[in-house]
Amino acid sequence: MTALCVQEIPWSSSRGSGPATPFDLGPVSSVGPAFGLLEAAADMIPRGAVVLARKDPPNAVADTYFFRGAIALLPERVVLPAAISFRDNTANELQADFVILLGATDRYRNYRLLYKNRDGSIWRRP
Amino acid sequence: MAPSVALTSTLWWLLALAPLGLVGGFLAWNRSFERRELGSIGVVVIALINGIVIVTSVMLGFSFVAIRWQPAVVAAVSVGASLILRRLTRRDALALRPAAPLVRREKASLFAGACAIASIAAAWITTIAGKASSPDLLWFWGPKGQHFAAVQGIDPEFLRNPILAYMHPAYPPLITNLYAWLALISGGFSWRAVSLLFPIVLTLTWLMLRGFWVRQNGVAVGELLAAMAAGSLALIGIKNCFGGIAEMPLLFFELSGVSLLCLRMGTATTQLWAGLSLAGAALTKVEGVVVALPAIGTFVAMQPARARARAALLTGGPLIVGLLCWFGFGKMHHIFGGYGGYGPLFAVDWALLPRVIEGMVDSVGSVAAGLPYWIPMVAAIGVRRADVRMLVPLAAAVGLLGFLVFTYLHGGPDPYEWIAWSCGRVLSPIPGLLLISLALGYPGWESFPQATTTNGGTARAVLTVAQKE
Repeated sequence: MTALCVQEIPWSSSRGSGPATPFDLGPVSSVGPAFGLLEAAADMIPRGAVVLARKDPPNAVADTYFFRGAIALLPERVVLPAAISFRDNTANELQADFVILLGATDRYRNYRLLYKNRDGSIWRRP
Repeated sequence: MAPSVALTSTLWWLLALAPLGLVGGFLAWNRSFERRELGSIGVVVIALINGIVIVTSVMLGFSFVAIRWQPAVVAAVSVGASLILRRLTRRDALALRPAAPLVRREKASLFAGACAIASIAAAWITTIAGKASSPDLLWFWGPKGQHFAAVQGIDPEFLRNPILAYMHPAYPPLITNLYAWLALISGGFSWRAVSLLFPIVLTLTWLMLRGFWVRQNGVAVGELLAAMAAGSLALIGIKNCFGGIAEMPLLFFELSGVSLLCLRMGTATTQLWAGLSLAGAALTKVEGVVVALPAIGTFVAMQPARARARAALLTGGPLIVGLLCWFGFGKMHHIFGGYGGYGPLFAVDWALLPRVIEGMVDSVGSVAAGLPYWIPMVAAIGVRRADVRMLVPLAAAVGLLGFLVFTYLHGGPDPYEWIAWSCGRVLSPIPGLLLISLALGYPGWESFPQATTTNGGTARAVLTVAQKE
């Protein structure tokens, strides 16, 4: 069993600088991009702000999990769901002060771009 | 987040565990007889367990009466509770026994110790590398703890929000209260630190079990059994991603509580410690109840008639009080009234039984062909005697297994997928419980002569050959 435990160690991780998130090499490593984007958002979105987090283009399943991640990583903000229980909920879009888009987007309505990385962008209502 | 900032916040978060040990220390301080029974390290670990249970229970109590959590006030009330509990326990008549004779550290015990450390190190490394953290940390364990810290209380409005129903509002609050406490003390919530609770608690579990078994069975056998436990739990934890979730703390509480019930020289103090540990299990996840109650019931039934009432009070009282408080809170705030998510209690579909068994076998077998679950059977080779105390952990194991099968039989039309992702995790206490039971059948120090004192009399030293730590 010791050998099996030692075998689980990721001896040749692709990230030489260490994991970016606690989930990098686990079964939900796909949350990495969203996790990083939401951590960046936490630094620039003030407490009490209304935030919408969604995937671009919209996807009900991805939006549901992205909403749950936003609840976790954006505490003390009002997070609006773009999807609830894997069903679209687009009615919230116009109520948000800030929008976090997961995916490559150069423009979002008339919102002002605050932050952009290779995984997504953060926008603010003017 | 810059790596240096992440490391600093992680360290502060982990240091916030220390006050919990201090609170529990008031209950464990100056208990020399119990320290001889469990070892100094074992008592320190038990103090931490007691502190976690007492502080998080006080936090639950504060929320029950709508008082906001002020860390200094919570700590002060917790220390008071610890001192009151300490006064409730009296020393029983001491039956002194010699410590096991000095045993030269054989190569087998060094090898076993090295195996245990390597298994635990693997758990640390895989967790730090981001391979062993559960998504449930992100979906609900972390957010609940973080939110409760922000509002300084268990927020019924948050738990009642139908959009947040995926956060399991009915789950008992010990872990989320613990996360909230750590966030309040350290000044913030650290996702990376939370994930490290898996290897930290695994290490503490190994130290505790090792302390018990070395004293009960001698150094060589004790190290070997502890290495088996560490290897099993580490592999199950890595494969099932225990990082940041309640599973490893649940195991910690269950195995410590059951071990304390199985002590040959149990005292009122160790019974209370067991009661607090098992209350911790019940307040961590509902599965803790079906481990705790059979263990407590079996233990109480084994006591002499005149001692049963006190044993029941000390071992079962904390669990009953804690659960009444939590269910009362849930009922009062219309959050939940019970665990109705699986349908009516007796709506059992027996036709599902073959499928349930198939799913459970496949789920357990998905972790290294089930090796961590059946390797404790190897320990049966060394069993030389039967001991009625073996029934305590066995009853707990049977209770857990029966509860799980019963639950899955409510999972129609096809519970296979549900079983696939849950069974291996929920059955993780089984290897430890089996090892606790089997260890009681090994030759121990019962063969050595003993000395007893009358009630309250001063103990006289008899054989004084001390065992090295």
